[in-house]
Amino acid sequence: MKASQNENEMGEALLGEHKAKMVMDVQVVESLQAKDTQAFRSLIERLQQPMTAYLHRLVGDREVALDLAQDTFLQVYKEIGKTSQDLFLDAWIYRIATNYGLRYLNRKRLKQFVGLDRPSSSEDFNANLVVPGPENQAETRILVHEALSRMKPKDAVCLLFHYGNGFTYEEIAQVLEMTPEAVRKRVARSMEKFRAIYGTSPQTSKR
Amino acid sequence: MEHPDDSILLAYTREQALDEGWSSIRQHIDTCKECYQRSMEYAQISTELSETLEHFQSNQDYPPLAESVFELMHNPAAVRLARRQREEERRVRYPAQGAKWVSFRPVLATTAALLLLLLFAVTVLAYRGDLSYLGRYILPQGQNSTVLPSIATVSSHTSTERPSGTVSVTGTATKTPTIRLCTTNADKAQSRMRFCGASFTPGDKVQLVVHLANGGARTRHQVLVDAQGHFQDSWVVANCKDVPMNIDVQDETNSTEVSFELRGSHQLGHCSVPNSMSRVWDLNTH
Repeated sequence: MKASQNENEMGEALLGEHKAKMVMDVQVVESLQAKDTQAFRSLIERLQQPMTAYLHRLVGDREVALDLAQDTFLQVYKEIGKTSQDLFLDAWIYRIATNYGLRYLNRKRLKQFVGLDRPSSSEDFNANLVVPGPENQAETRILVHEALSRMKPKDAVCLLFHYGNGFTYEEIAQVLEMTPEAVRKRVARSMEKFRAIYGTSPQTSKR
Repeated sequence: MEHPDDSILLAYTREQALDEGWSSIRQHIDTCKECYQRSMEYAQISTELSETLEHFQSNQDYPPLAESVFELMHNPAAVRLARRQREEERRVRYPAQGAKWVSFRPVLATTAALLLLLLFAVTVLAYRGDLSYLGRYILPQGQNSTVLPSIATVSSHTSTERPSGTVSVTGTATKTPTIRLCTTNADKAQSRMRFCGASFTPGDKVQLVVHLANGGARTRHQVLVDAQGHFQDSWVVANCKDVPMNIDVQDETNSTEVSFELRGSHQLGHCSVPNSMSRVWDLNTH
């Protein structure tokens, strides 16, 4: 009884947080729709770090991630006038960024197929993604990055949102325009695929 | 209680909202060793995953984007040109490690595309039935081959009497015996189908075996092949049960048999009858 009461309280707290976010979004959306440059600058400053990091992790290339982040914000500026004010702004922006990221990866894959681009190697993403840290954790991080890079981008997206950006299932549902149940199942499926790849890495198997 | 599925267990370990409520899941995990084990595995891998990604996110330092976004807004062409130049520089700076592979890929891709095109062309020609001349190139004259009937099938599909030059069943280069539908208006008025044979051996006696839709077969009387290698025979469709499906032409003199399949459909009297024929197989009974 007590446990369920706690759960309800926690749920209400989460809901309150969402409501506050919604209010803030409405105000920001209004300003953005009025082409308020300062509001747009604030939006970029607030989101550029997590969003670029998300794109960086998704496409595996820092320079490309920066370009895609710029394109995303430009698209936001162009299209915000066509949206309603009750928009989940962050979710919408992340959706645009995700579409840009996936489109870039599809083009890259096509270029690699016809030989116009070199195939990515493990050295590439190690150089691009692995951040120096304590030696004992470095190996785990390399393996995690490798496993994520070997997953299909669409599968990796859910894991990046949840584990990288700390999005709840409901927030991911808003970004990907799915139900929270569908997100729950997709995260679990993606996790299984991640485990399958991560578990078969030679170094992981030895551990 | 049933075991919660993996997605619920994972959501529970990640403290995500669940329709079922956490307390029931917690109670189950407390009593089910297997689910407890799985949830522990999820917790461990989740920790490694989130620790790596959070570490990655928090250690990246990107240059401020606001100015470059405004620049992109006002002068997109210049920004995109700069991006292309940067991309070129990177290509020069990091020459392809798999250079051999990269240079080999376009050749592979082009070859694959050409092969696909060739396959498509062959398929179209085969469908149209214009492949008879291929026999000349695929097989040298006088050579027996099991591939031959299918080539002959295609050639006879054109229902023409021109010599095709394909190799015969006996292995010599001769004209391929064929029959076609040559029903005249007078025949149609009497619900009759006419078959014209060509490229048969002059003077031979041939007879048609008509296989009907109901599974029965009727053997026609023998007819003589004329000096030009032609013969004719006809079949009356008295009722719709008499519509032929296959025709075998038996050459009594040479003891050979050629089978033709009837295809298509047009109205003859009250019945729908085939309007074209194609060769199915040859049988040399020597």
